[in-house]
Amino acid sequence: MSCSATLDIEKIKSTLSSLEDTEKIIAGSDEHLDLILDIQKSLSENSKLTASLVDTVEANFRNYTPTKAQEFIARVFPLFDMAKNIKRAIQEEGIFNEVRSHWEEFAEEVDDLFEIVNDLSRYKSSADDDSEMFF
Amino acid sequence: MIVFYTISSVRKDIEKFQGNKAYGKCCQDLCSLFAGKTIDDIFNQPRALKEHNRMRYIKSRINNSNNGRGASSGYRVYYYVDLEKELVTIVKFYPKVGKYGQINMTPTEEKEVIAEYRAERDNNLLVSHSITRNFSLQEAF
Repeated sequence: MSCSATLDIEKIKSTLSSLEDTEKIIAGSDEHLDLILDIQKSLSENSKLTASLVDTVEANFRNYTPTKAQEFIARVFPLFDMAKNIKRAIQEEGIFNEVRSHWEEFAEEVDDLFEIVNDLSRYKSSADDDSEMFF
Repeated sequence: MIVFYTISSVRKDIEKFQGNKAYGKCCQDLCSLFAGKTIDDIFNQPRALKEHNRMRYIKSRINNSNNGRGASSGYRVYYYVDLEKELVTIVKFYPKVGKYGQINMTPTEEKEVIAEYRAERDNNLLVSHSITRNFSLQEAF
């Protein structure tokens, strides 16, 4: 695997780990204000990591082979479920309004990641060369 | 000298966006993607979706300076770059958020814009723009 592919996978791991930490924070804090501040901080961190992951994939987009694209898609997919779980957990804690802007910022980055995953799937994951269709 | 073209549906969309405050600076933002770049710079933009001979079909993310929220909530631009002829043809331009926000270009839409691009290119109907004058229209192709 190339260096850029390794970097992409490492970035997925650190982003997933950060989302796991957010889930733990929501489940583990007893103090209302602390919980809000911790979640805000954690969501901001998740936003930065997700944006950085998108930037890395975009920078390497031309170098994705079908195999590499399929591997990336398989590895990153749990992140979307985790993002949904985080939103659900925040709502269950009744603090969504307090962290809304941080959540929205994170959700925008997750949407951006979903878009680039969709582009990898659409333009890079097929072994058939369909380039002529586009020109 | 690089020539920038659009297909007619892009021009219609731009006109629509300009009538909305949330996208009022869309032409300025579009120009910022290309301003000061050489054809090699544009050809080597990172998200090249497809490549054939010396042409690339590229998608770029640009900021919407009206919302100041970064590229993830900005615009998406799809364009062809012909390295030999130094031509850039924009075939799709849309915002990600707001009234005219779009998640992604669907495969059906993409087929339509590619067909439109081919028809207008082959019939000399592409229209050129100045990126130093806020994307204003120039002469017909």
